[in-house]
This record gives sequence, structure tokens and C-alpha cells, in this order.
Amino acid sequence: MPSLKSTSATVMSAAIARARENAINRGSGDADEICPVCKSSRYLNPNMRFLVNPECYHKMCESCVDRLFSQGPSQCPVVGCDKILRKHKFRKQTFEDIKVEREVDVRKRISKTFNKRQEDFPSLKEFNDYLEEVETVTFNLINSLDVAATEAKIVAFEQSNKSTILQNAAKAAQEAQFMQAQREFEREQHRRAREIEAEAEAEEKRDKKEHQANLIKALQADDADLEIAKVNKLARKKSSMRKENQERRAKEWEAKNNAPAFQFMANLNRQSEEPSKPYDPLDGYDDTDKYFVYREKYENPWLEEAANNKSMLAGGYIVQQYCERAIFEAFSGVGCFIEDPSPSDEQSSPSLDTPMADAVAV
Amino acid sequence: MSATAGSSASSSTTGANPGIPLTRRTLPFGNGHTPVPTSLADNGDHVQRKDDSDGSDVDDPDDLNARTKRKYTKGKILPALSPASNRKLGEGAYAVVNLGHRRATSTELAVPVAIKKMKVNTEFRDGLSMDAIREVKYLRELHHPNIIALLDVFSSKSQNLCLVLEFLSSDMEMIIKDSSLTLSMADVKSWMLMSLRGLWWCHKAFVLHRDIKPNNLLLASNGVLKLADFGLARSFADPYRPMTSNVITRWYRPPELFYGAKFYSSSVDIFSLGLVFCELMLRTPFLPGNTDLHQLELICQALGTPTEENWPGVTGLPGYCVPQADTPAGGGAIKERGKDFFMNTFIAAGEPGVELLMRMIRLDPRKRCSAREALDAPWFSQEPHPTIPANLPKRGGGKGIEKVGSDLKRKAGDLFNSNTEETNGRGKKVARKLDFGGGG
Repeated sequence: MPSLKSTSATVMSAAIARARENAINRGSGDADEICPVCKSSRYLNPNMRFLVNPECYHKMCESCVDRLFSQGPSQCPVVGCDKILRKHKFRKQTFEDIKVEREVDVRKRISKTFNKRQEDFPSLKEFNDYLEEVETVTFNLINSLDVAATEAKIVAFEQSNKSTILQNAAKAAQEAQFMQAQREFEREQHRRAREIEAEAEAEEKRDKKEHQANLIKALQADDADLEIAKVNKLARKKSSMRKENQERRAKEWEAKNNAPAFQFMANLNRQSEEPSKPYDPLDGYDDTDKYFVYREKYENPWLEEAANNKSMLAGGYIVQQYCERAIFEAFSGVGCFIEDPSPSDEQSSPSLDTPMADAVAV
Repeated sequence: MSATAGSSASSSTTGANPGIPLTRRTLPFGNGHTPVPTSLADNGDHVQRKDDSDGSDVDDPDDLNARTKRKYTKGKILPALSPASNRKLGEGAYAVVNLGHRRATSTELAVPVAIKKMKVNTEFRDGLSMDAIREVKYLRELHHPNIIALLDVFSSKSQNLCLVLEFLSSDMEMIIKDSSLTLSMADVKSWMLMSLRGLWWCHKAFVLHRDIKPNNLLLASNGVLKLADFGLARSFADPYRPMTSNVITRWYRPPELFYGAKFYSSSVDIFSLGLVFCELMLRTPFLPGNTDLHQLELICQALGTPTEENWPGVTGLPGYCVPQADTPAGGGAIKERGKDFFMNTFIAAGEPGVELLMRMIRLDPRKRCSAREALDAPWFSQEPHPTIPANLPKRGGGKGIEKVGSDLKRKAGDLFNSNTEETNGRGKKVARKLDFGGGG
């Protein structure tokens, strides 16, 4: 090693050693505070963030990730780890314990594939057996037991249950959507209910105050008793009206709320409109030929070989199509008269809003 | 190359003077009447005629080209509403697709279009690339509600060919991948019906599409499905005229093409569409092979091993082979799968749906049904009836805009998202090698 380099290297390593000591002395997070890859410590770079990759869960700092993986996937820098990592897979650790982090990932993955539900099984026992098997698979993966066999098992399960997995995933997504909508709906309802209550309370208070003021006024009058009776009657009437009003409003509110809920349900299982006309395979096009008919077979020595050539036949070549085309082309000008206005002249002008694509009823 | 009726005339004109008004050629099917829903396929012609009436000489190709070009402009209709930066819809090896619109005239509002500008290909210095020629040639022939409409063609200053295509907002692949959408069987039926109609029309005009896959099935904003990307299309071959077997994206390629068959027919498209049908139900590609051999293995596993019994003559195909594990010695050939197998996998389609599917993905190309036969399948007329296009699930937002040109990013026939990884690792581990002498 050249001397110049070695001095700078010693200075560097001394600084790093100091930093490490510092980190340990502070006692905050001993080795955790030093990136295991570049050995830079939090002491020197307080904004350091550690990331892990779910391939191997080796921790390294953000700048290492940028440095090593921005050019595309490459090997994990930790000695003895030969996993190929990709930058976009790196993420922040959620759990402090890396084992927990890994377990959560494994469980997430497993639950994506093994998403059968109880209603997919004829009896509870079978469902329980299934759950036990899923748990075994999960346990094996978490503890890295028989990984190859377990993976094969997962793939086999995935292959044989492709459609149900997808169906269940779609179901789950729909349920989540539904739950979300319902939660929002409920929250909104609570808010409204509170509002109505507060409104009612305020109204009651106001009425009470008014009633009191009226009473005092009545007491001042000449015929106090009569006036008081009048005021009391008015107050009773008002309060019963208020109650009625409140009830009506609550009902209205409920009705209004139910309407979108129903709409939401209707959107979930939207029914397509019944087509009014019977099924037309060609959608208005006519595929009959006016001037000619195709025959089953055409005698032509030139075609003889093609019709009997095994390799042409095995490739799917259809001699009949050639004949049809020949006939078609022979007659393709018949019935077209140049003097006739071309068909597009008779058309109405294209609609403006959907100019390029015409709606075609199926 | 022989062409369909009338194509000889139209294709030669396109080559020489792109922009000659499209003389509409009605195929003489159907006793001479035009199909009912046509208003849109003719859009291009319509406008053209209006412009032609301004008195200038119709026969002068340069003038015509200039006028056609003037009709369109790049950018959105209301640039104020959204930034002009996302004008580009996609760029590929052989074309750039820009969002544009037809300028508003006194009688018509502006209309969004996709302008596909063909790059002057380095490989074909003396002309246009095959893809461009194929696309123009067949799209000018095919007018159908379920096939993308080519509205106009003009050439740019630098003699680049520009195709004006109708603008479609999303594609089938996006629908399949969008896990927030639930697709009902009626929806699948509707999409299958529309794609079969488009395919039937191609085959009726003797054109093989040769690249049917979900991201070539585009969806208009009103839900109508349209076949697009005719870059690999060709007309049916004459007898003894070999075709290349290296077409169709691998996941959707039928077995005969893997076996190197040079003589094939419309049944290749049917097979691809059958696999799209599977994908619509599974929401994931049915046979996603990593290599050609792996793909063949998957086909054998899913559909059965091709043998002389279930596919007479198959052993005579140039590339015939059977994956190792499936040979009688290596583990036993798989018999061509019966109905039980498909009923298990695609239970949602019901028995009639499975029957149609089985007829579409038979191993032996001659046993597959034609598009016309498929349209007559009882599945389509039974409950649940196909959803009307306007009610079909759509992807929310305008995110789909980018999709029209995205297929260009790949080479034709290539798989999506393969080889996107950076292979250029220069300077990759430079920082890692720095040694601070900590170790010694």
C-alpha cells in the first residue's frame, strides 16, 4: 500500500472507530447506529435511515442502497449473502424485531395465496384442516424448514386453485370496499345525528327563554291568571310542534341516507339492461353473396397437390379458402357501377360527440 | 404479394402519393348493401369530400396532401385544459404516435385523433418499412365498427408517412390488469363478441391479423372494442406460397407456428383469441411461456401433447418436437384435454362457454372453428346476454390515453415488459470498490 494512501486510511479508520465508540458510549443503539455496509454512523450523519429488503432482511443505510442498487439489481453487500436485491423492494422497517418483520411479510404473502373461506368447505372440520395446513406452511417458511418442498406445495396449490384464489381476492376487495363505504356512511350518520340533536337542544333552550319572558310579561298584565294560562298553552303547543318537527326531520334524514345506500348496493351488482332484440351474430352485416355461391370442391390439378400435401394440411392451410378468395375476387366488381353515387354520399353527417366510434348495440 | 379485392389499386396509390382520397370500396357482400352502422368508418371520406369542394384540382397529389395535412394538427383540442406536454402517446422502433385533432370547420367540431408517424426505417432505405405498408394496406380495406378506422394518410415535410387513426382511450390489457374492476361473464361475452366480429370481418376480407393479444384490442370511450395494430397482418397466402412462422406474440402463438408451419390459415388468429378469452376469465395470461420451448411445454400441459392421433400430419412439420417430460418415455404424453379439464379451470364460463373455448384452442388447426362459426355459438345467445358496450367496465380517468401508441415500444411480436431491465451496467459498482482502509 502506498504510504500516502495508508496515512489517509489510518486517519479515516481512526475517525470511524471514534464514531463507533461514541455511539456505544451514548448507549442509544449500539451497533444499530452504524450502517453495517458502509460503517458510517449516526454520529456523523444524524439523518441516516436504515432500510431492509424482504429478500434477506439485511439492514443498510439509505445512501448505501442508492449507491449499490440505482444501476439495477445487484448482489447483497453483506458477506456470505448471495441474494440479488432490487432497489424498489427496499423499504423502512415497520417492526423493531427483524424476525417479526419477516413473519408479517410471510403471512401477508401466504394469505394472498391461501385465501379460501369457510364457505368454500363442506364442513368445519375440513376448514380447520385447511387452516392447520396453511399454518404449517407458514411456520415452515418462517423458520426456513423444507423451503423447497414448501414452495413447491404453494405453487401446486396456486396452480390448482387459480380461479378460486382470484375469485376470493375479488370478493375480499369488494368486501373491503363495501366496509369502507359503510364506515363512511355510519360516520356521516353519527355526525348528522349529533347536529340534529344540538339543533333541537338549542331550539328548546330558545323556546324556554321565550316562554319565561312571556310569563313575566303575562304577570305584568291586568288579568294575570288568564294571561298565564294563555302563555302556557302556547308553550305546550310549541313544544309539541317542535317534537313533531324533529321526528319528521329525523325521518327525512333517514330516508335521504338510505337512498344512496341502496344506490351503492345497486352499483355493486349492476344489472345490465336486457337487449330488446334477439342476438344477431353479425350485428347488422349481411354475409350472403348475391352473385355467386361457393362450391364444396373445385377441380383443379394445380390444387391437387396442396390438398394432399401433409405438411401443408398439418399447418392448417385451407385450400378451400384460396378457392373462395379466387371466386370472390373474380366477382368483386360485379354490381358496382361507377356512375352510382358512392354509398357514403347518402349518409347523414357523423355525430359530433362520438365522432370516431359509433355505438354498436351488441 | 396478391391482395384482396381492390387492394392492388389502393395500395399502389398509397405507396406513391399518400393522401389520395380514400375511395370507399364496399366489398360486394350482402347483396350490395352497406352495413348498417357505418357513419363513423366513413368519417375520413366525408371530411375529405367537403374539403375537395373548394375548387382545387383533385388530381394534384401535392396539393391534396397539403390540404389533408392542414386538416389535422398536433396537440389537444383544448390545450388550456391539460398541458401540451403529453401530446406524445407512444414511440416505437418504427413509428411515433402523437395525439392530435382534426381542426374544427364551420360545420364540425374538432375531433381527437391519433397521428402515427412512420419513421423512415434505416433498414429499408429505399422505402417504407413493412409494418407501415401492411398497416396502411389493410386498414384502408377494412371498414367495420370493431376494427380501428384509418381516417387519413398524409406525408410530412421529410417525406414521412403519417397515418391518422381514430383515437381510442384504453385497451383490453389495462382492463385485465386493473384489479379494481370485476368482470362479469356478460362483460367477457360482450368483448369476445366484438373481437370475433372484428376478426370475422378481417377473415372475410381474406386478411390474417397475426398479432391478436389483449393490448391490440383497443377500447373506445364508449366501450366498443376495436382490433388494432395491423403491422403484422397479411392477406391469405396462395397455395405453395410459404409464410413466415415467426409471428404472433409468444403467449398467444398457436402450436403450429412453433413447429415452423409455413402454410397456415385464419385458425392462428382464432387460437390467439381463444387464449385472450382464457385471459379475460383468469385475469392473468393463461400460457405465459418464458421461451419458445417453455411456451410449447405449457401448451402441451394445458391442451395436450400433439400426436399423430389428435393432429394428423403434425410429425411432418419442420420443427416438430415434444417437450422432454411429455414424451411417452419421459413421463407419458398428455392426451388432448377433454371437457372436464376446461370445465374445472373455466367453470365461470358455463358449459356453452367452455365448448366455444375448446373449439377455439384445439391443437389441430383444422379442427378449430372459424370466426363465423364461433359467432354462431349458442353461448352468445344465452343468458347472461352480452353487456351493451356503454355499460362495460372502464378504467377510470384519462390515464388510458397513453395506451394507443404503447405497443410501439416493443418490436412487433415481442412480449410486453420483457427485456426492460437495464443491461448496461457500466460503472455500476464503482462506489462499492472504494476502500477506506477499514479492513487493512
